[in-house]
Amino acid sequence: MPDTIKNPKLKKIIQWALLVILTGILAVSLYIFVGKLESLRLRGYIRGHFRHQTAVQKITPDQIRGWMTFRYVNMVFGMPPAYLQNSLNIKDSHYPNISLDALAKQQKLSSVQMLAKTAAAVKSFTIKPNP
Amino acid sequence: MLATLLSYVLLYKYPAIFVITFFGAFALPLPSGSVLMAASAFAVQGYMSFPLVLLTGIAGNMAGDSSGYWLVRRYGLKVLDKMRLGGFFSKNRLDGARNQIDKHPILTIYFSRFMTGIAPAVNVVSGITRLPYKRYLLFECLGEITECSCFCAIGYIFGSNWEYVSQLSGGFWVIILAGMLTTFVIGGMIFKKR
Repeated sequence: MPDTIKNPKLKKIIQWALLVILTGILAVSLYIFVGKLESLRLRGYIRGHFRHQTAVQKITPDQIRGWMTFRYVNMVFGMPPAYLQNSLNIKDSHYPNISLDALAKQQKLSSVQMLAKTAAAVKSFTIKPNP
Repeated sequence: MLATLLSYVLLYKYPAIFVITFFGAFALPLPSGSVLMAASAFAVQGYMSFPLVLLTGIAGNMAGDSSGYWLVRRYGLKVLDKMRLGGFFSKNRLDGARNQIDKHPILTIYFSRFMTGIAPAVNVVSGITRLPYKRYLLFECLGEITECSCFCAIGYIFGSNWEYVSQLSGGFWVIILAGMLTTFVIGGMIFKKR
């Protein structure tokens, strides 16, 4: 509390008002935070015990994003690099070190189209791992 | 912007993390916290090493902060003089500001690391007032270790679901800040009574 406030009564009032406001902000933000956390936990998005570890390690084909590189997608889904290269007919020499969005631009496709093609190829691999 | 940065992290791994956190700490408004969270999630999936992600994040942040500090310390007043603003920063004012930071280093340097917009400003003030570097570095280092550990822990706990929980980080820092200020006020009231 700044020493410029000389009146001790006023100083005490300001201190208590500050304390009440701050405690209120703390309580409300904690309530909102815990609520959001609980909702995420119920939806299974939080790593719980070790038996749930694989759930947070893996992603689903629907979680593939345009910024992801093919190397990352291959690693996460355990696919051999040649699989997506053949399925999507990729001729770029930078493969697999190229993002889905960058390849979509090269192939004059929209990001959504590239995501759909990749997700479909990944889904068919996960159904039949040795195509 | 985050999407582009994440592509770079997947392509260039640790050097990309270092560059992003460096410029994020230096002054550019980059989402380095979200990048660290995502990189930790990639580490959980086995794409990167978790300790290296954490160490690179801390190193990048510290290097960015220190660069800002030294740049302002060396050239800050000269630039201000050239802009004819040097008169505003008289010796008395600079000494007063330095004494305030020196008196409350935890409140000013340590906790400012958690607030992306405020940390570069504190680096500038610390540099321009010529706060001893060792003292600045100690609290800056502790702050960055805590901040990076928090972001990396979130990425580690939530793994591939980090995208869903990155929305929580805003609320998290409000709790930290409100808790810190409440403690400060309560502490002030208790110690004044004694």
